Amino acid sequence: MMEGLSKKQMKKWKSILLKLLADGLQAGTEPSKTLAVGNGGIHNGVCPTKLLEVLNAYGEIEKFSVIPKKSYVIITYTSVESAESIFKNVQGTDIEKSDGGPNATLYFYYLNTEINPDSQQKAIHLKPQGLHIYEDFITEKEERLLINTIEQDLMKQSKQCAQSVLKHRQVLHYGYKFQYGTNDVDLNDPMAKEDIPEHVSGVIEKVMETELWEGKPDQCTVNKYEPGHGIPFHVDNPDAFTTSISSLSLGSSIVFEMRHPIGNVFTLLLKPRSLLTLTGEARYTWTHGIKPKKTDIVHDSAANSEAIIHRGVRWSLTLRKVKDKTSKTESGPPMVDTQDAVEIERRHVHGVYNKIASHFASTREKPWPKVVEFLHSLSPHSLVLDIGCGSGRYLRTEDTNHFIFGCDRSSSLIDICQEKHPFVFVSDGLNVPMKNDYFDACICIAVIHHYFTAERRLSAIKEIVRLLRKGGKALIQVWAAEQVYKNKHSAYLNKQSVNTNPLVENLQTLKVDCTGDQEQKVCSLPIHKNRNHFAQQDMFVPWKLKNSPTQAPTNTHYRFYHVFKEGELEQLCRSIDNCTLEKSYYDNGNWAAIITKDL
Amino acid sequence: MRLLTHNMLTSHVKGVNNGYPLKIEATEVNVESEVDFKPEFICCMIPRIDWDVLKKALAWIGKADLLPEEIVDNYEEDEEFLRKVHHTIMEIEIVTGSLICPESERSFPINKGIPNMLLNEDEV
Repeated sequence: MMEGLSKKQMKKWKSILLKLLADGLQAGTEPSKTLAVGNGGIHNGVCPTKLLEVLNAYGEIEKFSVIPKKSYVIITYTSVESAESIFKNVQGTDIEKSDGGPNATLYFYYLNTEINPDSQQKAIHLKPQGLHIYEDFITEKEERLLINTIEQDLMKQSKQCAQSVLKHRQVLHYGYKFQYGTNDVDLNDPMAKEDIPEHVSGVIEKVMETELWEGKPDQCTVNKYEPGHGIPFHVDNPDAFTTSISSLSLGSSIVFEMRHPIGNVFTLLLKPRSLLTLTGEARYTWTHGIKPKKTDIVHDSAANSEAIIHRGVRWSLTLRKVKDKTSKTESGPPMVDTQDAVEIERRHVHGVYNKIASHFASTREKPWPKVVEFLHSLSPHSLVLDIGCGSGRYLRTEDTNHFIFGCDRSSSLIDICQEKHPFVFVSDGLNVPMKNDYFDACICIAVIHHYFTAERRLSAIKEIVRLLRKGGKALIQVWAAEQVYKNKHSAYLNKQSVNTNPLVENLQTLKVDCTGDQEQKVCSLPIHKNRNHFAQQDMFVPWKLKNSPTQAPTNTHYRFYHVFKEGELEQLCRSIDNCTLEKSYYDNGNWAAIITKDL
Repeated sequence: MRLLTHNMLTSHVKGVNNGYPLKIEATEVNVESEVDFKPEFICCMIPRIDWDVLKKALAWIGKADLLPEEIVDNYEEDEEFLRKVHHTIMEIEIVTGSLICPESERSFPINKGIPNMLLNEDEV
């Protein structure tokens, strides 16, 4: 029925047809005035103006709709003949893409029901609480001056020392030096603080006038984004910095995206010379990031159309105020030293696992498929170490290609492992009694979220890298703060909780005595409601201990967790010198990362 | 604890420069365990284990005669040799005893076949 299409093209035509049908369009080969143009959408890189030039040549157009987030467009001609003509003559032909990528092949489909493309649009998402934008915050002259000064400073920096840790964006710091990895500032380092230069203090004065700041910013990070650069999604460290974060954009527009743990997404076009300030939920709950792309798609609600804009070079000047660590913290976990962290973990991690071992083991028999997939991907006879092996669900060696050892901090859990798999020992994950550069692979599943501080979490990953031989790889998996991601909710959430987000204030708290120094310290964290969304990142998760499956629970034990936000695990991995982040993904309520040790 | 595990364990007490190998003091040893013999796996392991340390481990538990002094040539074809290696690294179990750090003499207990390598706070 469609001459001129190759076998491969027919296959492609059919697969796009299925997508159109899945979107509820009555697409097919029965002639009609209305057509869908597959691969002609803005999301496929095709400029609507260019496409219209082609479509116009075949007849008078009644209506032309660009559908948000779809790779097809919908066109209605005034006559069926025009539609039939383009269906026959342009079917399977190429059109240039405006992002410079390989040409798009256009495929045509008749649409037989009156459809309203406006109904395809999703509701405009509510703006995050605490998000403030000021357009034209500075003049064009002020902008040019700032850019020139920043460029001079970047030149000076690249002459003085090796390029910054970050492999993509160029970065500068004024005031305190920001430490990637732990994402904070070392207040003890006398070299850490420099004076804020004049061009930045001018901006700070203006920012103070907005009255969105408590205290004055004393740390400034300048990022230079070439087209194609982005920044992974993250929340600025709540322990290191105070309640407000401001960012001034220079040079070019860019699409800035925010994500809420329950799944909402909010995007905004940040124009040059605009100031963005995050407070409250926008600062602490929503993550923010910029996708690494060369073009952005912007929606013009007045014209109900979308356009592609090409990014230019953009500089962002981000202002933060370093937290005084002796003061009471408003949000996030309390500041504790190593001794306290060890004590909290003893009482609320391995201490609990020792008590709940058999009950716990009975609920952890099913292996995560992607972990099994990772293990299967290893070369034959690989030696693997499972750090934090728990009750041993990955410690099989019968039908496997690899040989695996296990270690865990909890002796009761190792006792359980040992029955089926004798190649185990009791050890701390931060100090594994094995030589450097030995294992072909490591897995560390659902472990690192139990360490109380960011430093200890980073040390745990460094220990994994130490144990790997050069070229060896590791899979790390942690619980995610986001139990909904890309509109899918995890198996952990129960049905009732899917649409409710528990507020921190409404949760019970648990006080833990930390007796590090002579001074008695008390740390207080909320108790999480099981099977619900996470209200914050640091909390105690209850375990109702049952002596047998049919009995009622006897006791409740509280385990400490720090759940990871999107981008957080990747940031930790990237900050380690001799390792490379190969892949990261979201898997049913968990964040996972695969790293390799550099050669 | 199987001897394959012992071959990899090292003392990680703070300040110790060479914590390998850990000396074995065994009060109970079990030689009756059976593990499936996989010749290919044993061939791959031979170059990766420390043969001298394996010999030492056997000597410490009074089983020095289970293995020859040297790795035989063409061991890939010598099933008898491979089976001996398999038995020593995979099947012999130290049920109760201690592992002693060669430098600090810190003792790590082995109970029910499990070595407990946890350090105290001051040793980290």
